[in-house]
Amino acid sequence: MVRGARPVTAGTPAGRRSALDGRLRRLAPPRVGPFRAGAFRPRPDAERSAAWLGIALGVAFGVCFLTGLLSHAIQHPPVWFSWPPRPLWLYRVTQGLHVATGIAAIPLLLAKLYVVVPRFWTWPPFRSAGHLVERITLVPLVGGSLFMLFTGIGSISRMRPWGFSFPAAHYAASWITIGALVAHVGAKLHVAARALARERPAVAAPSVPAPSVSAPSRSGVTRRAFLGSAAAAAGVVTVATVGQTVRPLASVSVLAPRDPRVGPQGVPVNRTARSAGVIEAAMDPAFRLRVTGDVTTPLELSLDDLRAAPRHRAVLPVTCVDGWSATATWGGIAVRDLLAMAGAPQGAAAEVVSLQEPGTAYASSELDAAQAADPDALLALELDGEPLHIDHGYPVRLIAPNRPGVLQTKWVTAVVVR
Amino acid sequence: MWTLVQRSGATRPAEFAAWFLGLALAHDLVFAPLVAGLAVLLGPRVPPRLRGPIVVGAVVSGALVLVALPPILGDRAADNASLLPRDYGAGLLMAFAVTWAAVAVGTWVRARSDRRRGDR
Repeated sequence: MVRGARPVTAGTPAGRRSALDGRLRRLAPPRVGPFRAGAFRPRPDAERSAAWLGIALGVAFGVCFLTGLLSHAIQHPPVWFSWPPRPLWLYRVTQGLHVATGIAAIPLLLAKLYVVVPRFWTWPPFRSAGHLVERITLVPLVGGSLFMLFTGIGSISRMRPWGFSFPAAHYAASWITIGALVAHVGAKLHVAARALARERPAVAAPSVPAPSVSAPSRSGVTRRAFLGSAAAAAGVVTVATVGQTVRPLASVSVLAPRDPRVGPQGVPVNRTARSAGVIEAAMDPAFRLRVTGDVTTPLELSLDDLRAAPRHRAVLPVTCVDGWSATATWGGIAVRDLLAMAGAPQGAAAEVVSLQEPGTAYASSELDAAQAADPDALLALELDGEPLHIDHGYPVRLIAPNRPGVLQTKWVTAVVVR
Repeated sequence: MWTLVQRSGATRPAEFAAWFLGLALAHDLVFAPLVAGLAVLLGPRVPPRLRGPIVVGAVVSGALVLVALPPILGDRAADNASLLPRDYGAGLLMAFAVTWAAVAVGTWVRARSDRRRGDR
C-alpha cells in the first residue's frame, strides 16, 4: 500500500544546486505549453517502467546488433573471418532473429519514449555540464534507434523513401546507435537498478486485490497494464510477421512482407530475371558453364552435359537478408564434384559468376575452401524435381548451406577456381 | 562514424543526417504529442474499469498500424508476385478484429471472476 503513495523525489536536492543552475533558472523560463510547471506530472511508476522497457530494448538491440554484424561479416568477410557451411540452418536463425527482433522492438521503443518523453521537456534545459552531456548523447540514441527500426522495416517492405544505400546507411547508423546505447546503459544502470530494487514486495498478499502493485498514474492506467500492453504489442507484431521465416505461422502472419509459400515453384524470389537483365542470355541455347582458373582441365559444359552429370539432391533453405526464408529440395551437381572433374587442387576456393553484368550487385559470390567442399553445396538445375524457374536462376544456380540469399548466385555461367 | 565518411558515396551524409534527426524530431514534435494528447483527452472519458483493457487494445492496434504501413506503402513489382503478396489492409483489419475480440474476452473473464470473488 505504501509504495503507491511514495513521494516523488526531485532529481537534485535543493542544497546542491550549482551556480550554473541558478543562472539558468533566472533566464526567463517559458512557462507555457509543455514547459508549464506541472504540465507533466511525473508518473509514480515511470522510472520502473522505463527500467523494464530499457532492459527489453537493451536485449533486443543487442540481438539486432550482433546478428547484423554477423550478417555483414558473412557478406564482406574481413581476413580473419570465415563462415562455416554448417550447421546449415544457422544463418536462417540469426537473420530471422535480426528482423523479428527489430520488428518487436518497434512498440517497445515507442513505449519507452512515451514513458521518458516528459523528461525531455524540462526547464532549465540542463542543470549542469554533466546533465547537458547526458542529454546530448540522447540525440544519437533516440535518432539512431528510430533510424535503425524505420530503415529496417522500410527496406524489407520496399518502402524506401530515402536516397542513400540502405545497407551502408543501416550499417553506419548501427555503430552510432550501439555506441550511444552503451553510454546510456552506463549512465542509467544505477537508476534502473534502484528503480527495480524498490519493486520487491515485502509480503505477498494474494487474496487482496493489489492496488499496491499497480497504482494508477495520471491517466488512470496502471504500470502493469501499460507494460503489459507493450509486451502484448511486441508479441502480436511478432506473430503477425514472423511467419515469413517460420513456415507453420505463414497463414497467421498477415502483415509479413513475404510468404514462404508464394512465388514461382512455391518459393519467393528477390531479384527476377527481368530486373537482372538476364532473360536472353539465360534462355540462349548456346549457354555454357565454364570452370576455369586454377584447374588442370578447364571445362565448358552445355546444359545437356550438366543434366548428364551425377545428380545430387539436398534440402536447403533460401534465406534472404530481408528476414524471410523458404526450404526446398534442390537437385544438381555438387560443387566439389565439379571441381574434382576440372582437376582443382584440394582445398580450392571458387568464385561463382552470374550472367548478370559484371560489377553489379551480387553478380558473383565466393565459396571458401570449406564452403566449396561441403557435399550439399550445389550448382542446382532443379527445384522440387522440376527445372528451375528462370526467376530462381535457370539454367543453373548456386545453392549452398548456411548462406545469405544474396550469395546464392543465380544464372551461373562461370566457376573460377582459386 | 568513420564508415559514414569513408563510404559517403553510398551513405550520403547530408541525407543520412536529415533522416537521422528528422525521425527524432518527427517523433518528439508530432508522434509523441499526438499520442499523449489522445491519452489525455480520452483517458478521463473512459470508465476506470475499462482503462486497462482499452490501453492494451489501443497500444497493440497502434503497433499493428506501424508494422502494416510499410508493406501497404511499399513498392510492388509487376514481374515479382512474391514481393508483398498479401492484402495488407485486410490483414490489418483482421488483426484489429482478433485483438479487440481478445481484449473483450479478457475483460469479460476478469469481470466475472471479480464478481465471483465479491459474492464469496
